[in-house]
Amino acid sequence: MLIFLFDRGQGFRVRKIDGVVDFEEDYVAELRWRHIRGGGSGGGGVALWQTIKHMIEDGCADTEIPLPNVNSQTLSKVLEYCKKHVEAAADKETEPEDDKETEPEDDMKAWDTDFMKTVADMMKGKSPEEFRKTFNIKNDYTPEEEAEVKKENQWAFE
Amino acid sequence: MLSKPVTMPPYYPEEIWLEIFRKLPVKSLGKCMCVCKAWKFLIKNPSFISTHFDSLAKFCLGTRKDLFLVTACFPGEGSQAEYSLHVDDQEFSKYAQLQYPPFDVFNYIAGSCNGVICLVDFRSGFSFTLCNPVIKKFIRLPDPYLRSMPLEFSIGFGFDSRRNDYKVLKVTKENVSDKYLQAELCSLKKNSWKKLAPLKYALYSGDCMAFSNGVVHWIAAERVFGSAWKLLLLGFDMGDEVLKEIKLPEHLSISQERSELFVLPYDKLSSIAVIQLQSLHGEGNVWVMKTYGVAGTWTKMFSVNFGRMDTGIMPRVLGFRRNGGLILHSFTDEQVSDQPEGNEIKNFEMRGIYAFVFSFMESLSLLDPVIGARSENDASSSTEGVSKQLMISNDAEGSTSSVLSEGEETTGKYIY
Repeated sequence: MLIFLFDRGQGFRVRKIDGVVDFEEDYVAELRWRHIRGGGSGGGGVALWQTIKHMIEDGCADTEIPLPNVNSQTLSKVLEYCKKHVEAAADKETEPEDDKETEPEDDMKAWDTDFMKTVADMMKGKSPEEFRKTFNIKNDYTPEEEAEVKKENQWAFE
Repeated sequence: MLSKPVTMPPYYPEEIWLEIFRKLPVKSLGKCMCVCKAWKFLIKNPSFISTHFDSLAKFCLGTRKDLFLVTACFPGEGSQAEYSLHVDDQEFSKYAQLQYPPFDVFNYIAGSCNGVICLVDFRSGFSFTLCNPVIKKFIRLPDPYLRSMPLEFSIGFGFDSRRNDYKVLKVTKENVSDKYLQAELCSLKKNSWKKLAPLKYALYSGDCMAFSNGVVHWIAAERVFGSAWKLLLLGFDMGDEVLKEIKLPEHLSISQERSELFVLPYDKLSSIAVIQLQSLHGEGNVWVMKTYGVAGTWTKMFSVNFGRMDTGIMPRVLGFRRNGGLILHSFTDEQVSDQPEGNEIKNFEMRGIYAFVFSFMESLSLLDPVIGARSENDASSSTEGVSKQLMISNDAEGSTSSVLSEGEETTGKYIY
């Protein structure tokens, strides 16, 4: 099973296709289900993958999974992330068992760190309102609670 | 449509957020806590707070700011002090001025670690406050058993990383005739003091102790052959709560006239440095234990000649910069940073008769601390009623062994 993520002009979509398909022109990254699920050490790729997996299992992704709230900057980073993990997993598979596996592991770790750092850099200096908008997060504080939590964390706004 | 409720922001599950939060500076995290309840919950978690600090300290050089807390004080009648944070950059530029309580009055600073400062107010005996100036959080510690001002004292502040607990060690000489020093230890988590076995040493000075490698260090003196004094370095492990002797470089262990010794943390090698100021020759020597805990690695890193000291007061080494430079106080109402490689001396004008410098890093410590917790272990040892012996065997560097007994809180018996 292969998953393709591509741009349809209105945001990014995930498509589930059985069998092997040639690379389409919108192709961004190829994700291999088995590899990503089994690869990595609890890193971000697995977690992100699980989110997509849940959507597929919930049946909301028979053909396409809309990802309307992910902007192109974030998604290109995510895709790069997935691709990197797929490549690492593929390399691992082709290598004989007794071969040293530390090098690609370290490489992946370094890459993961870089990925997280990019997102962290995107977050610096933003206000809570901007956070909510960028990452589509619902404000679950009541107005009173929000006033309280802002008062507690007043130091962060000075 | 999704059938499962999404509690965390979509597409980035919890582990990813934690990983990203670990890379954010403290102020961004303060704003993140205002975004939604789930984020606040993740950030307030004590284990997140400590991994955040470690991750900033080790990996994120871009986010991390190496700061110094500088205290300039004008003691005496109506004593005043100024507290400021400075960046460890070329200009030693000012990052923040701390003006809110308890920084609005003169407080002695006993130490700084993990972004937490330990302040002591002597106006009515010993009164301790822990403070994270970045998140503006203060916690007043309970009063020690011996509260009145002693003849001599030395205070150490450190962190027990195993228990995630801040601790204060207070060592005092109460009376002229006392042969032993009284020692008390406070744990923030337990929110109480306990008396430790009296120490058979004498205090060398009232300088605060230097915290490095989980151990607070100070110079002590021991009487040998009648009237002669031998100087040594003592270390109290804030985790194991045991005392150990650390060998000083050989010729520093003999007390010399017009010579002063003190110990400072040497963060670059996560070790300690002993500074020897010899006003007779106008010379300052900096000895660093290159590998912490190995006495054979004491190395004379710098030797600075200040020329003849007309006033007789030597410039004091206050701390070390990451580039290897020294921060000195020249006693002409300004601080000087000397960079030994280039022999370049830069003046950073700052007022104050006394000045103290501590390394500082921003953290979320004390955001939501556990105070007054009693673990099972503590409960069982305090009910035994018999003092528990802690033996310290010979260390690798060959320091002598000593025995420290951990007494029951008020009526411990001490055996040597």
